Amino acid sequence: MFDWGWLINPAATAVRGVCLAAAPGVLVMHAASDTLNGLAYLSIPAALIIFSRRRPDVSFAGLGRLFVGVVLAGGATKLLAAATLATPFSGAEPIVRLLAALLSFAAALLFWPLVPRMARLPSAAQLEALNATLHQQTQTVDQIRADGVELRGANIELERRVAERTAELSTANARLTALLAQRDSDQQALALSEAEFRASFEASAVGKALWEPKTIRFLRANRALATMLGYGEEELASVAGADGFQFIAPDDRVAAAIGFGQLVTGELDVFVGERRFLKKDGSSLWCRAAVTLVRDPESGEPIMGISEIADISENRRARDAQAAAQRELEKTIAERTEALAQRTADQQALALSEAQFRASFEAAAVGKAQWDPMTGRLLRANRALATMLGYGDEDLSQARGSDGVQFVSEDDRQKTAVGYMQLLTGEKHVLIEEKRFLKKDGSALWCRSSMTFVRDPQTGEPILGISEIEDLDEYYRVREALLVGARELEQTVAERTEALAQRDLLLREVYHRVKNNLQIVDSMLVMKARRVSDPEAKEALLALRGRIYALGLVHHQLMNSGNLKTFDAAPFLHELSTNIVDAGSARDVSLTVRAVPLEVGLDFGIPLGLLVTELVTNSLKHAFPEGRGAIDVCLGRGRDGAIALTVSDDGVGFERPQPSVGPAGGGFGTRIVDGLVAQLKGTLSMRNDDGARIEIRLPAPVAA
Amino acid sequence: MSALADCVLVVDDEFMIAEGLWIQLEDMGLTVCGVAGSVAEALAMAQEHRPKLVLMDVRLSGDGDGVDAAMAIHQLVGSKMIFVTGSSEPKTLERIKLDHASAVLTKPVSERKLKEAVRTVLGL
Repeated sequence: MFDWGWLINPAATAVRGVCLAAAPGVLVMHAASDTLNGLAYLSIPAALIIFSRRRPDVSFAGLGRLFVGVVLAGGATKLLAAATLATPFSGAEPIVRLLAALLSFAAALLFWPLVPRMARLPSAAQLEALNATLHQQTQTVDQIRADGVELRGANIELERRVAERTAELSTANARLTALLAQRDSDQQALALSEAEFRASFEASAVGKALWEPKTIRFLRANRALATMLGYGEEELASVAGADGFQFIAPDDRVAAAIGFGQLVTGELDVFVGERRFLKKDGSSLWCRAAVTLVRDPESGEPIMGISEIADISENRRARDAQAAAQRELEKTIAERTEALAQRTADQQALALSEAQFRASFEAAAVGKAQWDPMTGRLLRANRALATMLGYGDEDLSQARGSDGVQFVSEDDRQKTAVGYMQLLTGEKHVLIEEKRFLKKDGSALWCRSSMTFVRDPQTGEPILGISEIEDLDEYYRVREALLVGARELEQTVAERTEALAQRDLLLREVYHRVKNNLQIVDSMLVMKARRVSDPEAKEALLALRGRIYALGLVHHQLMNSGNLKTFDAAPFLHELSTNIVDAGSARDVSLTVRAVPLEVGLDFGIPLGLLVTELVTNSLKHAFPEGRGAIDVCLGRGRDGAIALTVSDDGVGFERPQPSVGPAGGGFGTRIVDGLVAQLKGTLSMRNDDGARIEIRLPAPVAA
Repeated sequence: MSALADCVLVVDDEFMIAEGLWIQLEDMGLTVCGVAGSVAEALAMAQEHRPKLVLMDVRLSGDGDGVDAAMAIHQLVGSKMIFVTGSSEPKTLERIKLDHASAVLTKPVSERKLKEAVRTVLGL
């Protein structure tokens, strides 16, 4: 810790105390002077402050404050010195002295530079004189100021005039400059246009001439004109000065003169005429001349004539040809017009027919559609078609633009595509197909579609596809049902046929077996007859063989007949009778068989065969003791349809009628005959008429 | 081809029928060299006995039928052939015709028809 004790320590002032301890008077003197000195010092700052308040304009504030500091520090030093004599706080005194010294030094440093400035400060007298002078000058200045206001007004007016004049001059200058520029430009343009005129005049392919308007003499002609009129280049000069009219054919001079007059009077600005010019060789040349006059802008007097002359001989000829062509054309046009009128009439007729077509299209009961032949897209479909396919009116308009093939059942699209190609290639003109269309609900509808193209008469390109679609669904359903029915029927027939064939096979087999069995029975009879020695018994056995044969023959006939059920009795009777007669021992017995065709079945054939066998056998056995005679077998049909079987011979006839009662009664043969006639519900009559004659009447066979 | 024997071969698989035919042939004064019931048997017997006539049934037991047997016999032996058939199937008749048949008799065969046929075929 810093030790502040030295500041108040009396010991620190010991040296000074020692010095002052010598004489008390000196000490008093020290104290009094120091105190007075200090008080005086302290009063000075007060005076300075009062001064500075009263004269704020004196600008020595900084230095003033420094002086205040210096004086205060000096005063404090003196007061401390006086106090130190009585009270020993010597430590503070040197510090105040040091402060006073530093402030004094600083004030001195600042004060010295101020000395010159302070020396320049005017004195009061000087200021008094100066003030008087100033007052005098102020008066002069006021006078001058009054004069100045007046002068300034005049000056402003002057300046305004100057400005106006300047503006006028400036405008005039600008105008002049513009005029000059314009003139330069005009001059350039004029020079340019003249140059151009000259160039064009000379180089033009059209003949050009300049002439004097009063005398109508050529001033200049260009090369083209000279050439046109047959003059050489060197003769150009000679053209100049010549009378312009002399180049015009005499016939056209009057017209030229009239035109010229109109130009001169101003009636025409440019005169254009076609007239003949005279060539150097005297021949004439059709030209078109455009003539104009250049007039003086001031007086309006013509100052120059300008002509442009074009060779139109070629044009003229062309025009003659054109006129001819024109006449031809007009004729053609007339013809065309005629044709057009005709065509218009045709078109009207066509329009009418189209209207009719439209009407028929819409109103048709048959479905109709029009489509783009290239894209196959539907253009229009009538209501009938929509209704047919289950679409409403609105659906129909939406269907426009859709691919037509999407209305065809997928099963038939291939077929349709093939047909379509045939139409496109022209292989077919109309394609008629029966195919399935798709209804809105996805079901198929059988239709007959007639498709054709309307082709462009010129190019032959198809421009419109037209379809007529007729609902065949009902027909198809019926046909389908019929086809199914027919197929079923065919199958039934096939089955029946098969069954029938099977039956036939079985029947043949049965007949075969029967015949085989009969053959076995026959063999038994043969075997037995061999063992029998009694001639009567042998004969009886052989007779049995005859009856067996009859049975076998019936089956043989049946087997060979078409239906395996019935056969014709006529050939059967022939075969049967012949076999009996030939097998007989009598060699001189003749046989005639007459039989009407008669279809008989097993039920009738067997009894019939057995009857004939018995009757013929009987005749052979009894009628011809001599072994000679004739037997007649006749099968006829009466008017009532009844069958009449007659077996007659020219033999000895019956000795007496043979009654047959019961199985034991009468002969074996007689018994068989009577029984069979009864079975067939027939009647038997027998009589002698140059031999025996047995007639059996039978009802017609039911099976036949 | 050597000479044929003066005998007749009966070919039928039904004993009774063959027996009946045999008796009738003998009654006609002919010698029957045997009865065969199948094609093989018929061929063997025909080659053994070399009969001048064969009475041939169409339906035979075993493989083949009378037509086959007849064709073989015709070629190997050269016997005359009388068919005796219960069947009159058109197909069978067609085949019989191809076989140089001398006669065709249908069962039941009457004595008269058998005699006629045999006499005609043998030229008696």
